[in-house]
Amino acid sequence: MARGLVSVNERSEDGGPFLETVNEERIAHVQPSVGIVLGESPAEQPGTLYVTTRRLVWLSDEDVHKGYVVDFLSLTMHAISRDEDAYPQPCIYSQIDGGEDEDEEYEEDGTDDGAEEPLESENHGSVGDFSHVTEMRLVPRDASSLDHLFQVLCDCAALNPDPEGEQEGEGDWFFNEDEVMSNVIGGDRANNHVDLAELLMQDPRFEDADEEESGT
Amino acid sequence: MLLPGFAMLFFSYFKELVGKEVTVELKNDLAITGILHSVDQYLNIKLENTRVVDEAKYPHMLSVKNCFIRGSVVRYVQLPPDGVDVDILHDATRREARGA
Repeated sequence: MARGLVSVNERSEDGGPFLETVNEERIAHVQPSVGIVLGESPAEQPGTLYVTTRRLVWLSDEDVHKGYVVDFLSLTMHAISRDEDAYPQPCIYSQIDGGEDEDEEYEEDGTDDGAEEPLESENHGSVGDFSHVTEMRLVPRDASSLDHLFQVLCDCAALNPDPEGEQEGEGDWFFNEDEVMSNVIGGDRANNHVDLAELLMQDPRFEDADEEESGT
Repeated sequence: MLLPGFAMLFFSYFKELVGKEVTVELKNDLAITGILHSVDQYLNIKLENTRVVDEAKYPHMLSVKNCFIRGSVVRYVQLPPDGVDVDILHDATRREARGA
């Protein structure tokens, strides 16, 4: 399911991303010389962008252990941005949903500074968590490729509908009588009656006071 | 893929709105107004000539002229008044209710 942006620090022998063959993942488009901007961080560049049938993968050209991945289920919207006031270069603007929004970890120990460094320096071979990143810009050196890139992203996004039954419903549906009954307020009231009855029968507090006898 | 009836109904209905102005509100509260360019069976929505309704909150989105929105993050779609054909909607929902 949607897991937001994650970092990858491994790549296949041909320099591209490892593909998830289980999901019949294929590369749909390769865009060289693409800068990436995560949230408000400064641009990291250059890198190569791989658009697959499942995910967006950006791999640094300089550091073979550096890269980021976001699956299409997490890429909730994307757009072409050409306004220089918004960003100095034309780019793809996108929003990412990390699944569990308002992640407690980032809310509570939310000191942003330095949060990313340990992941890269210490955890080689493992995957970093960037689920707090909700905005990403992809800045291709060749701005004329933006329209095509946008279209490829649309096409691949459409290949990835949400799994059925994963929708976070505003209204929850009940499918059988048991479910309905278990959710009825006071639905297990019958049990409460039994417990209360037992309590009344056995609880010494309800017995007649015998203090005078035992006291003598 | 077999769509749930209501999704199919919305899909058919939104297709009729292509070329009209709609406002799409996302589950993250971002609301984008634009011309409906296309909609697919998963209710993914493409808008053109977009503008952000709450510009103070999302100033960087001002620049975006076209965008693709994942169907699963759409909370509401506000329809243009002249885009709502009540009779057609009534018909469609009744047919749906009958399971046709």
